Amino acid sequence: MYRYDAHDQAIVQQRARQFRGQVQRRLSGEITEDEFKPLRLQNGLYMQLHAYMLRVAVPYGLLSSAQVRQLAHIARTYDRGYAHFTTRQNVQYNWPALDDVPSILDDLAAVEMHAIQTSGNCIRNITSDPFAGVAADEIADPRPYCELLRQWSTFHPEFAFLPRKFKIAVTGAKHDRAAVAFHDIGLRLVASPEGGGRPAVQVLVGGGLGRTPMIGAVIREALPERDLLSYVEAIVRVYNRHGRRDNKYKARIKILVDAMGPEAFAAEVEAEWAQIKDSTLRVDGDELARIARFFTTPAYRTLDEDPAALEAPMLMDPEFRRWVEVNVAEHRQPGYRAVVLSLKTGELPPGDVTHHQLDAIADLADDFGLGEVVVTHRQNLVFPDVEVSRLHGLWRALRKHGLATPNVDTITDIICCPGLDYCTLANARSIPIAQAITRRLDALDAVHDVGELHLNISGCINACGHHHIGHIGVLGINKSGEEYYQLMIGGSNADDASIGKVLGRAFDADGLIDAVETVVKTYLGLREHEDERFLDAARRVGPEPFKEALYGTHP
Amino acid sequence: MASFVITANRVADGGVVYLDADRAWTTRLAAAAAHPSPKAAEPELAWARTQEAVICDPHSIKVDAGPDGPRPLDTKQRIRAEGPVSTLRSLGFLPMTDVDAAIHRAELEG
Repeated sequence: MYRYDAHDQAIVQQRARQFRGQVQRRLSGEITEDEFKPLRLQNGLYMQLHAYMLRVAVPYGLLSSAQVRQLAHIARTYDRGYAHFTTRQNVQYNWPALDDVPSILDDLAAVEMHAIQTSGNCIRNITSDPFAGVAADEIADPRPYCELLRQWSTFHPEFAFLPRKFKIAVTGAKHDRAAVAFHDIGLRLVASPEGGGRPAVQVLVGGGLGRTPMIGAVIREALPERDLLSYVEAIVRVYNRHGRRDNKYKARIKILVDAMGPEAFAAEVEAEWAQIKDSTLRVDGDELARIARFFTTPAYRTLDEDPAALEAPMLMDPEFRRWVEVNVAEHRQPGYRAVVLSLKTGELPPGDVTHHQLDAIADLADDFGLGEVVVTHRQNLVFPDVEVSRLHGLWRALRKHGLATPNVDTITDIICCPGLDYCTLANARSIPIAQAITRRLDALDAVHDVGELHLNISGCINACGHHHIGHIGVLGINKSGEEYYQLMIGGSNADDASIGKVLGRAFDADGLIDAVETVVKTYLGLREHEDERFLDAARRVGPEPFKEALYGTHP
Repeated sequence: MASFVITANRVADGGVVYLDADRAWTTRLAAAAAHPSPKAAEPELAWARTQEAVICDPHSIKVDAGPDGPRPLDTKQRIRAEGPVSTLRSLGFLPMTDVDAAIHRAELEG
């Protein structure tokens, strides 16, 4: 993984020192909240309903075991003993005291981490495929490109005050696991028409969720990798110039692309790009090679791919079999697998981990993997490199720490924003809804029979829980001061990107749990065969059977 | 009958506080000064706005008299008053209204 050089280290340490002074001035009354707010937001520090919240950047979701151990230390020392992994592969602390935050930033800096650009109208954390570098279907490793973009966008002086926040995702695989169609800029590494063994970049712009969900448009099919930075800079320049600053609800790039039309927007980008494409932004091969050296193939052992190795433990233990089938992914290296640690137990809020679990995760990443952990946008964690022969031992160890729930990509692997339990923007709670749905569906014992089904819950229209792109989506709304929930189906964040449609009138919390069960049972009744996914069945039959089951003839 | 209470977040830790009749900030909603109308609450709110060294975002909220004291009419304010009960309990913590409130009260009063 990328390691800081002396400049990187000096910058994050200076930033922590600078913030310590700013906090001291705020606590002494020397500066007002209006003066302090932009300073704290530039360091990822929000004011939530009950406390401050600190959002820590995890570039493209990649953590070392030492970093995970430090996250545990911070949770234990400065917070309430837990941390929360987010849908943008970051980590949040919900209870820091203000005068502890500079010390937290110092501790983060000690392990090459920070909270810079995790808030504000700037380019945020670059996200990517959680199986980057190990995916069997990978065309090229996206992480060097993510790191290149991270270095370019960090403290970029021209883009510190964009019309709105700006999110970029990169994937290098055939199958999109980074939701690139739903980012301000989505980048897909593809085979280059120029040949030569280097990838080109397909460029999408104008995707996003929030109150106006949109699927990004392709404006370049195969950009040479040397032009990546200049082209992305041209896009952000056009947005910075024309994006609306008069209305925050119309300020994202998706609104601009939609208003101009993708073709006209692309023409502006091309004109801008023509002026800068041969500038210092051109990425020479040496620079990309320098960054790529941080992501070289680990020292894998030479192993045979032996399908029989797992047969005995899987025969002996059906629960292990289930976990292997659901939580273990193919790996490009023979004899290795990538393992997903589910953070959706039904007991803790989705994405939450205690400091004990974080310590255990760090130790297990060292013992069973190669010391790396990846945060997924579904709020789970991945050990990218586990030898097949060690899967059974890892499973036993994970079970002891409540991290082996075999539910990845099932209906209880719920994406869930913090909702009204924490968030000032939310209209309704989402965590108790996720927990109640999990309890209900676990009791039905139908989770595994249902198969792949993504259920996403947001507590408000800002859509941090990605409700529009869940196969089933839940949106919390406020009706006369009370919490209600809209139910939608048909969304997808994958290659078949689509936006879900609302089924009918909203439900109260109890009604929603019943409604989700009804939707699941309706699907089970109408699917053509056991392998027909919920999403495929819902697309085949349309919303009517679900509406009728929920509302009768009066949706 | 509905009344109005001044609330804010503490600068030190973001904690939810309410303004009592002695112009002290308390974590206990039950100890907050209740005003019969927004207009009646305005002088206290104006004073609260001068206290930004210790609190931020002061505003008035509508509450109703309940068996256990005042209860916010709005869901968001109720959750603000009670804490993220479900999540804290599942993590083994008690909600703000119990242990934390007692600690914060002791800190404020001490």
